[in-house]
Amino acid sequence: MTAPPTTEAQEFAGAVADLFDRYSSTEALREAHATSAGRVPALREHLARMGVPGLSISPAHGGLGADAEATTAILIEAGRRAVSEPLIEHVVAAAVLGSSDSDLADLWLPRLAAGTAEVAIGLAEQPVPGARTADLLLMIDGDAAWAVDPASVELAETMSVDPGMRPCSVTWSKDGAQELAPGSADIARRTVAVAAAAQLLGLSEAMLDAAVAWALVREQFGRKIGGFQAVKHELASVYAEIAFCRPVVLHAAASLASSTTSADHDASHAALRASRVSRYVARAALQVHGAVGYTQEHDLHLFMTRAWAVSSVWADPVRHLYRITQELRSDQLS
Amino acid sequence: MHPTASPTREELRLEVRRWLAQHLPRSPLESFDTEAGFAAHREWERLLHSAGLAVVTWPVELGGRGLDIIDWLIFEEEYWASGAPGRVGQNGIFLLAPAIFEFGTEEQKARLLPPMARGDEVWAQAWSEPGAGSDLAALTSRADRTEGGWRLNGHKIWSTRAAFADRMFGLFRTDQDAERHRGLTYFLVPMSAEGVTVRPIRQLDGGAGFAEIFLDDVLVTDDDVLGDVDRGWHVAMSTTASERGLMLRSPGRFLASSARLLELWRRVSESEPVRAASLEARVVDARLDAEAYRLYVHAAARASMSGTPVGPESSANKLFWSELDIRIHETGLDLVDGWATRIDDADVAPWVDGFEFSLAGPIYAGTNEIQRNIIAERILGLPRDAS
Repeated sequence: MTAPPTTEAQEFAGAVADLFDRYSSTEALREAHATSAGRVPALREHLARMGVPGLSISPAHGGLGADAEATTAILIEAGRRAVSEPLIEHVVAAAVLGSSDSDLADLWLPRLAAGTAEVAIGLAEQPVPGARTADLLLMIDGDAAWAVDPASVELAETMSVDPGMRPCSVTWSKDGAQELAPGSADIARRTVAVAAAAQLLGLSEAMLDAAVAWALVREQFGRKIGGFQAVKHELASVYAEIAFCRPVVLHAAASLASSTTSADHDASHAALRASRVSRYVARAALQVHGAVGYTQEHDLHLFMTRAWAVSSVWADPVRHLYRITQELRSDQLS
Repeated sequence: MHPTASPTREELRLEVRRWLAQHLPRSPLESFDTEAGFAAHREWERLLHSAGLAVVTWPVELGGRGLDIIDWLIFEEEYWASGAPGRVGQNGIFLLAPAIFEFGTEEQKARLLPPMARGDEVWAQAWSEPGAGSDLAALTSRADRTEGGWRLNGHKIWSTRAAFADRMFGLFRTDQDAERHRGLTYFLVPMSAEGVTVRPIRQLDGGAGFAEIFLDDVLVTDDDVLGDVDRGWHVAMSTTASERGLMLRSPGRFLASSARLLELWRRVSESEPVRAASLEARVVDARLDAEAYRLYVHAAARASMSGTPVGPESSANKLFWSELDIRIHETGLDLVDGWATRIDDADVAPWVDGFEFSLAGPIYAGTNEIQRNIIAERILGLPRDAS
């Protein structure tokens, strides 16, 4: 069931969104991008004070215990402001470590919830965002997931298209790493897919808003460009794609929360659709902005590059399309 | 996972599934755009009605079951998955009836709705005119006051089901001095009335799916007016909102056709693996889009049940299903080697019929250009066209 979020969850999401507005303005993001961590220190502090790093961590481990739907609402808000905090990583760690009562959960979740430790997530062979500053690495490798001590790995910095992302390729060994409970890799993959889809949905909404705002002020041929049918129809098409993405993301969050049998399918669908929609919206928004959108002086690039990076790292549409294709080949309809 | 499941809803699902399995016509009915096919479809409507399945959301006393819209969505999923016949009463049930429920008098409801539910009275829509298509408010058909009623004159066109229907609904200008959408009135007219002439028009597929209607001094009474005089635009727009919104094309249709597409694709994967592989991504996308459409409509239905009326967002709905329908059927045809020269093949014909029908989707019920204007202006707040 995708029931509408409860009022309490909505209120909390609104309060977190206010924090994002106050501390993660595009000016603040630009300043942060010039620093080595790429992040806004004030935002990090305030989020920790509100308990956001422990959003989906259980109260027993010092977190807020929000379910997937409430978490999704906040991830959408984060996407809307191109927030570069490692929210996805915390949500994934909460799901993976919290799903079994290992000593790792007792060791790490309270620190992650308090915001005194950070975690980075490695998917397959990809460079790992935030690996340099993480206190714990969760490496997802095929059917298994491993907790890895950052002191035991070799890091080589790579460069992200998103100026707020600090990835490293990680050379690690299973010797000395701790294997997580069976099923952890699947939990990680579907959790990251839904979390990324939520951020991409927010990013898409923000880019549409920006394009509409620009179309209402930019004038050519003596009139606002938003009055030209070519522009109106393109933005209407963008609106429709986003409108049909939102319920898919919310449904995936609900499936995740209740661990239904279709949770993997729904997560892949959400990641695939949100990735594709965000790429389409980015391109349409750029076209509406024209040359000014093709600059770093304008804010649009902050959202475009963030969307490209979130899609590529956390919601790779090709992998998800492949997964769903394999499933549909074998006669499973959800 | 089904987006809105519950035990009682599942009971309904099973009841509908069982009933359809027992009562479906042994072979597909002839197209309802032929005289014999129309009659056969009318009989099917009567059979549906006898099982209480013709209009499940209507009140019991008017021929329905008083179910909510989620139940209707479930009914529709089962209906289209079973391969049941198209609904010849569609125009009346889904376009006119919502307006009668909202604007009709008690007398009109009691007189018009039960025969509509039984299939005894099949309605044709009569919106467009030769000079008023997308620009519906430019219509010139007129109604003039007479003693005890109205005299209608004009020319309607592209009137769906008009070739064989019993009654029609449409807009006529009652205030000749008013401009555009003001001064229009919503009339309900028997096709048998003196002065009504119907000329069927052969459609792309050869059937007489729509017709021209000429009205020459047709006399109707005040009881044939729906809603207030001169307020017909308002009445009609409430219908088209439901038309674009939840009622016109339920997700069940596209879940069913995308499931058939998957079956076809799996079969072709055995016989022509290269062809199937080339179309793989389109098949998968069609299925996912049908799932997205279901999730969107269920979310809208839940919102509507908790008091949020369907507004201009329904324009996005119409864009999505009409374009999806074409993609599903184009992909189905592409899976069949040489489809265009085998349209008499019983396996190919439904895909051809579905393809041709799908091409009308972006045109009827307000063209997709009009829907994009509505989204741009009423949702995004972009300027109206400067013309």
